[in-house]
Amino acid sequence: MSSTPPVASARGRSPLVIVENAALYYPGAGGVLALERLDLSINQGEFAAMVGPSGCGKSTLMKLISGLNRPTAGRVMVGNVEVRAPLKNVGMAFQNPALLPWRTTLENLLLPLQVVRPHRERFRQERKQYVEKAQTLLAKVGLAGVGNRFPWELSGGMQQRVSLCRALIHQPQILLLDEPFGALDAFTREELWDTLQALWQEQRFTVLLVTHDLTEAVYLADFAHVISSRPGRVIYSCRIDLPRPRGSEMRYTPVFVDYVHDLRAHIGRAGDVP
Amino acid sequence: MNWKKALFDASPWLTTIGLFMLWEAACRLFKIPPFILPAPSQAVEALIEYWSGIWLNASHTFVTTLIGFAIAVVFGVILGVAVGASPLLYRALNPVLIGFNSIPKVAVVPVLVLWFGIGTVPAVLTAFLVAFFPISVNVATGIATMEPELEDVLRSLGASKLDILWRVGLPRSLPYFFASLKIAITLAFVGAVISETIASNQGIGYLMISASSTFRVPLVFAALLVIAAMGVGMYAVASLFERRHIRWAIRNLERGGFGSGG
Repeated sequence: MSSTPPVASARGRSPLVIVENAALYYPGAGGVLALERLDLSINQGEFAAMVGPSGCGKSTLMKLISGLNRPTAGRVMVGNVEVRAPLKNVGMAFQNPALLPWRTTLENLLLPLQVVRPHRERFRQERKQYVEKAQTLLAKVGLAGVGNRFPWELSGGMQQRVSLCRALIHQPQILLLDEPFGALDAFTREELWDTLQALWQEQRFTVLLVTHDLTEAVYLADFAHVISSRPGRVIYSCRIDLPRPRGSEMRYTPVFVDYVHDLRAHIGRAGDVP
Repeated sequence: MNWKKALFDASPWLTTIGLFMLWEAACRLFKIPPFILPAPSQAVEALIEYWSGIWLNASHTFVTTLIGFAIAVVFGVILGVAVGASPLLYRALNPVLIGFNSIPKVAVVPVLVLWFGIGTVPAVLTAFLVAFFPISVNVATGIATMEPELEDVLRSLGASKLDILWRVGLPRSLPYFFASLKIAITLAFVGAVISETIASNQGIGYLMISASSTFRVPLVFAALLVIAAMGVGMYAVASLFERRHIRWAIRNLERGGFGSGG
């Protein structure tokens, strides 16, 4: 627990992720240019959100940053090193919780620790500490006591919480979230926003959240980036200067609504409206 | 409400008994001669009369089937894992496998006899040849249909292909594997019996052929009953195995209440 990344002062943080002039072309029948001339920078410990029309390559960008795909042109740097192969310590969560049905919730949380170095070598000896760590994390997201249940015994919102925990348990370099709350009902989604915000405020990991929900982006992020329709490019970036912790009442204040409108206007300019 | 559940539980026995009663009644009513279609009672009589011979041959077939099935499981799993984990192998082997599976195995038996002579070896090999295919296909399907998100999650944790196969691919293919065992065991049995009817001097298939060539038709039907009973028995064992090992995958069938797994 002592190995949390150093938290830089609020101003003058160093960029952790830099995407420079990146393009990605999917070859094949009627090949698709998913991204073009894309520039982006995310600071250490920053909460960044990506919004844009559907099919604009938001998810593609996530694959570039994690190294699962290589850019056709330009480059991606993470921690001052160019990304040439999949990064080895990323947390990911998707709209589909993608939990393993044969493992209990607790065992699902332990999965990253069985895979990521250096935890995997220590897993057998330190299983007890890891289990404790997982229990603590579960308790933080309001799931104390469900460790022995199977994922299919949990509701959709609970599963998504578990998925979020799985993405965080190994204290990843970057947390990549691809519309993780997209399939949830409005109330559950708002609860999970607060869960995520609380975790982030406590641990200050670096997050890239891909979403098409503007309220979600403004509520959670330090920076919101608007991506144009295909080929995707960052056409507008906006610092969200709202105090934290942000609460649900804030979503109805004029300042908040102005941010949402501002983003909405730029998406309108981005081309086909979702 | 309770009689509904009782009916549900008793239904497999009721249909089986009903079928036999219908058969018996038809034979008596239409006075069908026993060398055309013996009544079940006559088949059972033959079963008791020739029990020692039937037992000897049936147990021989049983062992033959199990050996062929065991080889099919080993080979089928290896092939299935290879094909499921490697798109290249999948593409390369697919046409060959489909072509091979399309060949009626009856046609292969004479070739096997040519190579290995009459007897147990061709029967074991036929059982193996019919049974491995569904196992491979199912295991490969289980591995190849992994959620792409899950693969992304693991790869971005630095997992190797082997890690992904071990942690996700193999466990996720288990329900497919167990489902295929139920099919494969009955197929192996059919394969063994087919080979015995064509080229053997032992086994329940051989017994049937020799009985029919001497017009002991009730004995033929007694052998058929034994074959059917053994098939049902093996299927039941495979099902039991399945239920024990992958409760998470068949939860829909037996989910008693929410949160029962705690």
